[in-house]
Amino acid sequence: MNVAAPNVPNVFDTFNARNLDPLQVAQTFIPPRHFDELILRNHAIVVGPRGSGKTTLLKMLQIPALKEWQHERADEYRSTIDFVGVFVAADVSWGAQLSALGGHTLREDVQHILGHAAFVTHILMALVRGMGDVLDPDLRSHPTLGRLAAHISAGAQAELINELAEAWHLEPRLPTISSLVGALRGRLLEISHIANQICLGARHDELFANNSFLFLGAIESVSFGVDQFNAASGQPYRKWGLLFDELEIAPKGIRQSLLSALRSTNQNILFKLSMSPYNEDAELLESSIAAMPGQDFQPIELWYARKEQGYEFSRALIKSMCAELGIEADPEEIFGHSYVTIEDATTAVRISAYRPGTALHRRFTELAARDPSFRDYLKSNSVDLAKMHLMGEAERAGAVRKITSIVALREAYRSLSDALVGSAARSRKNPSLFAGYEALLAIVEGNPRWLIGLIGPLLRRYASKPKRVPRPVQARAVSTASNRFRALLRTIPYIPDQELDAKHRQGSSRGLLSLLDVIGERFHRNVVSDSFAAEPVLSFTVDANAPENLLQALGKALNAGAIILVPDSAAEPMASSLRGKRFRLSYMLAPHFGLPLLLGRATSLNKILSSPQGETPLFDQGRAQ
Amino acid sequence: MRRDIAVLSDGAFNGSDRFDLFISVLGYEHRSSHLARSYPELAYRRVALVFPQEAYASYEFNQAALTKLRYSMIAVGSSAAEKLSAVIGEIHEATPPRALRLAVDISSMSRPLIALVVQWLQSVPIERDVHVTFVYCPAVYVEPSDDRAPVAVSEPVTPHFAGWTIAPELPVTAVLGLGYEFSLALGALEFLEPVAAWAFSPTGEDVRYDKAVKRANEVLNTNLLPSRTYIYNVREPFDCYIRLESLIYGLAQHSRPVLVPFGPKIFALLALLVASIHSPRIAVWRVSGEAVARSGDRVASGAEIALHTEFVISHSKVSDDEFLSQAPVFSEA
Repeated sequence: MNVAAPNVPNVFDTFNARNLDPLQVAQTFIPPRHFDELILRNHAIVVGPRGSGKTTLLKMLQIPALKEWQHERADEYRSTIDFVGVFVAADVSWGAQLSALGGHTLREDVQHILGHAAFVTHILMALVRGMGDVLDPDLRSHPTLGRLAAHISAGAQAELINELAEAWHLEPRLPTISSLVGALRGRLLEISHIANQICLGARHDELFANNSFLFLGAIESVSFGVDQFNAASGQPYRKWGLLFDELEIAPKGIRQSLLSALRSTNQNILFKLSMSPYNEDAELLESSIAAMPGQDFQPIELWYARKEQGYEFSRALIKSMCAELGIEADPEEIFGHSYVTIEDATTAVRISAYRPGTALHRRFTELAARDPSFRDYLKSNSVDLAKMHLMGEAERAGAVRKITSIVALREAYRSLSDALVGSAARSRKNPSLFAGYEALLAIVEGNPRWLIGLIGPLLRRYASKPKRVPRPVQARAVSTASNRFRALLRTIPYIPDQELDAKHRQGSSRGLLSLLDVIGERFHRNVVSDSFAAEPVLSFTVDANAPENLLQALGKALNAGAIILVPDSAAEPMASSLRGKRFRLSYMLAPHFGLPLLLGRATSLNKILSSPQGETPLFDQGRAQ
Repeated sequence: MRRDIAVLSDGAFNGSDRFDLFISVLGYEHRSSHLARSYPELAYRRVALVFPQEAYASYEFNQAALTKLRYSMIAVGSSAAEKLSAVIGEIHEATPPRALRLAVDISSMSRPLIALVVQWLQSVPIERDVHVTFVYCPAVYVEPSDDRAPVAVSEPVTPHFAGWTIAPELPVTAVLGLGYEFSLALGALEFLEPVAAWAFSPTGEDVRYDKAVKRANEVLNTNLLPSRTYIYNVREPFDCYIRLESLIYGLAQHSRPVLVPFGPKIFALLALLVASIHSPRIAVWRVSGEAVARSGDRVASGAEIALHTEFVISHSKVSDDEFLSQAPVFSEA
């Protein structure tokens, strides 16, 4: 077994950037359009599901990452950024450790104080590391970042360290940056000792009285540090960007302080926070934003309700991956075109593709032969299959082009279902349905983690064997990625109803994945089995009377990226309530369910869940066409 | 009082050994009373930890058997450790001054219960070393249950095993024990988002089990480097321990390792022992549906695997300096 250093990610590990150091992140960073908003001198909240690139964006604002970044626009960004990024890491393991301090035997208020103190210590460590970044002598000679460098004489630096240590109640062994970090690490150790002592019976009030550092405020302590550093370096207006990853992992008191700090605080501190879309702090955030003078706040949403919105970033990332692998061919050459999955009324398809004898024409003809409702559709729209190529452009777009992907999918699954039924038919997917460049682009949803995980191995295959990647190989990779995502969804805890006993919960359970399965399977039946619909139901609206446990499950699905918010005109950066909102399933789940990569129509979630077996039409007949 | 743990050797369980205390379980699995029934005179004192909420399947059978064999019953709950300590205090008074000898049957224990027992053993409140033989009885193969059962928990196995760190900025690494729960190990990795992952895959119980493990982890296996997968024999836990401990020792130098022990309980025990040895830097997590779904009954296959350990009173407590020295070096500007 190889215990290689974990900072060398393998194929599997490249799925996430959470644990990569700034230099590794910089090696492959392609700036999405959101990065332009994030580098501005204002507060920002980056909102997105898992894997949408929140961590990467924040990490790229650190000086070590910016220094190493090689990109054609890197200097442009470096010249614009005028704050020092201080990245405050968070992950589920650290979050669990904070919650478990004292082994759940401590009183809640005692536990909160200790968790809060640990997180403040963590923030201060990040700030001191950021100070170290700007004091790095190498930074001064950097052509575009040199202006962020600071020079503080050894004597002044020692004085600064002493001032910080006194204010933060620390006793570093030496007046140096590294000793200050060491003292902060010692504090984390001390906090766990205090928790243990209280567990063993020590009086918490006495321990707290003797350890006043436990009550240091996060914002006040950081502000003091920033002000002292700026004064010592002779740069009183230097800006510091505090980059909080996965803010929901921080203790509640810290979250509240930070969200309140968005309103008014030290002018030299910018807050860049990353959060999941569904968040218990949404209401607090909304009230904070509402009270903010000058609206100096930027919500940045990292998801794409409409697939085309994510294409630009995905194409750029694929181009970069190709360059890294020495591939000169275009992605269209490598993967071929997707001929069924994304065509809609706005997608250009060659007129010749509609002529009799083509694959597209054959699919239409075969479906018409076996599907009376499709024949009805053709008749009511006056479509003569033999003359589709002769139709006027607008007419063809309205009646034929927009249904090509639905026809392909319906025909493929209906022909399979002659021999197989239900999920068995779905599991025997037509390998060509979810292959091709455009399909891959849609499936990855502009999500860098998914893109790297799905397309990376295929590009590596092409690099070693420069032939078009066969569609079955692409389909297998898509299926693997989809299954991998489903594996994650399985691990997201969801107990449907606490009031039911274990036996009943087991029987009636709808865990997160099984809830999504009900929705996906119902959509599939609407596309394949119900009467033909030119615009099938592929999204849902959460009913006003949806029960709380269902909302919780949907919130988890939203944060995991399994459902995508389709915003109305007044979109919110975070969803304080899911009621009344419209969602679609992630296209990463489409291959599993056998769904077209389209937004489709919406129906009520209640309607889907109350008729999972499809007894009830998802739409009244009059509305379905 | 803190104890150092030494894992010494393994082998087939010798039923003719006599212990001061045998800790068993009263649960729904038929195998939970297997050792007790096989070796009625195994120990001077015999205790069964009781899962009152598991009164189904073979529970009544086990209850009758253990009652007949005069086992003391201690309900699993907040006072269980205190009651166990009281029992061991009585044994301490009644036996000559030598190391106490305990046997613990982990076969039907939940992972949290194994964790609580290991934690308790590390702080047994008597001035004596404690030698512990853990026993694991594999079950007759049962097909995996519905792979769509919802997961109820993704969390540290107990709060104690959440671990602690003085370097939260270090990357997380994951070490998995694989089981035949469909795609759960893969899902756990996606959930924890480690920078790198290693897997321990079991063999030696039943060929059907080996195949089921392979099937359940197909996607995971295609993504893990072969050099990061180790196949261990459940009948040779000491060998597995050596490899696991050295892996964790290496990883802890530059990351925050999280152990996620799916699969045979013997691996969960090894994970908890390793985490205890390197406490508090190593976290042990569980991802399961056990709070929601009932598992089926399990019958002992007949194999009895022993792992011999010592919980020795520590005379050299881990100093703060030693813990701090594990922190990454911060290069000063």
